[in-house]
Formats: sequence, C-alpha cells, structure tokens
Amino acid sequence: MKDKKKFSLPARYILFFLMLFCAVLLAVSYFRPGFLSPVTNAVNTILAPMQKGLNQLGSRFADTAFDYQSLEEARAENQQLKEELAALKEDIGNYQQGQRELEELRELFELKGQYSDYETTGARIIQKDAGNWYHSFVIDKGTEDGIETDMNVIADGGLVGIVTDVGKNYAKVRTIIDDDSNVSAMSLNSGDTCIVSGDLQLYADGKLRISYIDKNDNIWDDDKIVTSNISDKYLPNILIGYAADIQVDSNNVTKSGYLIPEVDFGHLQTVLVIKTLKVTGEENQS
Amino acid sequence: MKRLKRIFVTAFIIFAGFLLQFGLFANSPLIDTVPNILLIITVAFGFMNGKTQGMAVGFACGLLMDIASMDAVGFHMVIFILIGYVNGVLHHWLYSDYILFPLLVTTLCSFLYGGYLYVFRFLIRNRLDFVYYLLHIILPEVIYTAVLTGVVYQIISSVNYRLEEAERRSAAKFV
Repeated sequence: MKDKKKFSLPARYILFFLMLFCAVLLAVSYFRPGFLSPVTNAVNTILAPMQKGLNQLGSRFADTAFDYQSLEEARAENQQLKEELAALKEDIGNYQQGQRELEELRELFELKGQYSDYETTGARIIQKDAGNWYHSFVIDKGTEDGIETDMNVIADGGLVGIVTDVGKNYAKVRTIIDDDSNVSAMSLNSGDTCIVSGDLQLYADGKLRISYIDKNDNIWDDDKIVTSNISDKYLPNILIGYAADIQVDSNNVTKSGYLIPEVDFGHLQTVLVIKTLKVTGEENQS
Repeated sequence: MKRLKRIFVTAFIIFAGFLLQFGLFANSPLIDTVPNILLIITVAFGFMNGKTQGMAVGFACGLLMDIASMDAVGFHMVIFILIGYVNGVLHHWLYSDYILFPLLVTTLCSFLYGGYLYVFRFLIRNRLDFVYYLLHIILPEVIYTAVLTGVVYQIISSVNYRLEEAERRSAAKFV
C-alpha cells in the first residue's frame, strides 16, 4: 500500500515523458548517427557470446530433428538420387566442355582468380534478424579481426551483402535481398550498368529486382550480373546472379526485370568477408 | 525489498524472452517466422499489473529490440511503451484469470506492431501493397505469437501470482 502512494504520478504523465524521451532519442539517432553507438556496441559485445552459444544449441536441435526424419523418406530419396545421378553423369561431359571454354574466356577477360586477389576472412553467422521484416544478420567477427564498415561479404562465390555496423566481436551485415538494399551492377557481357535492389515481396520467389537499364543496353535474360566498377562501396566484378525476365518498362525508356541470386540465402551458415575496401576518389579528397 | 525482488524477477523474464527470441528462434532453421516473445511479455505485464509496469516493461523490451536489431534507438521503444500503456488501461476493464482475453489482446497488439512497422519502414518508402505484407509477414507473425502466448502468458501469470502471494505475506508479517 505504502509503495503505491509513493508513486502517485498519473500514468499518462509518465507515458508523455517516455514518449518525449523516445522522440529525443530518435532525433539524436537521426541527426547524429553513431552518437549512441558506443552504448549499443557495448551491450551487443556482451550479448554476442550468448547468442553464439544459443545459436549452436539451436542448430543442434535442428540437426537431431532432421536425424529422426523417417528412414523410408531417405530410402525413396536415395532411389530417386540414383536415377538423377545417371542423368547427371551424361550432362557432365557437356559441362566439362563448357568449363574449358569458360576458363579460356575468363583468361581472355583477365578475370581469373579475381576473388583470390582479395584478402578474405571466414565468419560464422550468429544471429539472424529476429523480426520478419529485414534481411540482415550478425557475424562473429568484429574490429578485433580487422572487420570494418562497408566491407563486402561473399559466400559460394556470390555477393551476400555489406557490413553496416561493427562492434568489438561482432559485425552486422545487410544482405542484398534486404528491402533497403541497392547495388550498382553491370552485365558481365556488355558492361552496361543497372541497379539490383532487394524486395521483400519478390524474395518469396527467390528473386531480386533489376532496374534502371537503358532501353538500348545489352542486358538480356540469363546474363551474368556482377557488381559494377562504378559502385562506391562494392568491389567490382563480384558475381551477384543471373538476369531473368528483362522487359521494356511502360515508359519506353528503361528496361527492368528480375535477378536470380547466386547465393542460397535460405541456408547461409558461414560467409567470407573481403578485407579490401573499395577505394574511390572521394575518400582521398576528404 | 519485495519491490527489488519483483524487479529482478521481471528483468530475468525479459532477458530470457529476449534470448529465446533473438538467439534461438531467429536462428532456428526449422522456423522461418519469428514469434515476438518480447511483445507477449509487454502485453502480459501491462495486462496483469497495470499501466506503470506495462510501460516499464515496454521500455525495457523496446530498448532491447532496438539495441539488438541495431535500429535507431527509440523506434521500437515507442510502440512497446504504447502497447504496455494500452494494456494497462485494458487491465481495469478486462482482467481476469481467463486466458481468452490476453490471447485476444496479444493478437490485436501483434497486428498493431506489424502495422506500425509497415507504415514507418515500408509505406514511407512507397511500398503500397499492404495486402501482401499483411498476408505474408504480419499474419504469420501474429499466428506464431498467438500460439506462444498460451505458454508464455501462463508462465508469467503463475510467477506473478507467486510474487503477489509473497508480497502479501510479508506485508501481513509487518502489520
């Protein structure tokens, strides 16, 4: 009883002050980005090891659950796979020929070993976004391992995203499928540029959006789309995916279409962070 | 003393919920929709114990959401505090031991939260297809959250009951 009397400030005033407090915080975040980051970084540094542990626990649960999947299912799958294998063996011959051709062409384009030129470091994903609205994740390496903001992240030979936030032992990566992500890209064949943007709505179909292609540019279906050399944050010539369904827009000036990403975003566990930052003229000026 | 105990227990519940939501559910390859446990906790405390506690818990949960998602600090706090307050208001009208009301309230708040995120994160960037977002993102989250409400609310409710018992006993002792 005594406690209740002590706190007799009406709740609606408290609500008002708290809303005011939030408004101030939001204003600070908006006008002075990074002002509060020492605080958030400190908290996240403490939380990172716990999340790492829970993540391992979670995947172990998942693994056991998968183990108990019925044996029959596996047997049926085995049979099916054997049939598929026979068909695939036939295909291999064709592909080997294609591979040889590809290597020759790569040498021609001087693209051979493009990724190995960059120093990379492997990292494990320890937290995916807890909401269902964003597509970003946290990796278990941070400034201690030499990670910096704007470093490019790749996996399976394709672009995954970019580091947006770094703490001592973690870093946040925004993937290219995030609704907020725009990547300056180009067709490997023609060098014509376009913009690859993530779209929450398209993601369900496993696609991204390609837009801002000039109507007369040579970007066609199944073209290899790579990061462009005029992007100010992404290193050039990293594979993003393949163009699909390119059509002239209703304005009759530009073309747009979809992109099938190279990386399987549903099953990412580890990624590679490229420790080289893109050097642009602007940096030297400032 | 008893107030301190209540604060510690509440903080523990919030933290456990946070770890469960961000550590386990968000990373589990089996579940691709993450239930919003922190929202359930906020609703539960507001609904059981009134406006002030609802706001306090909403404040903590919103702050954790902001920090962990590295969003602008304050963005989730606003909606969580509001939800805590609204549930505190509803406490006077609807509170009973019956599970149906909290379930209903959590579902409504989950919709509210989804709508808030849609408006301030997507609508302002000219993503107009609300029906798509409602069906594919908000609705699954609401359903998962509602399913978990049954469990989480019961746990918090029994913990709350025990705390109240202890408080009443110690009050009786002093009188």
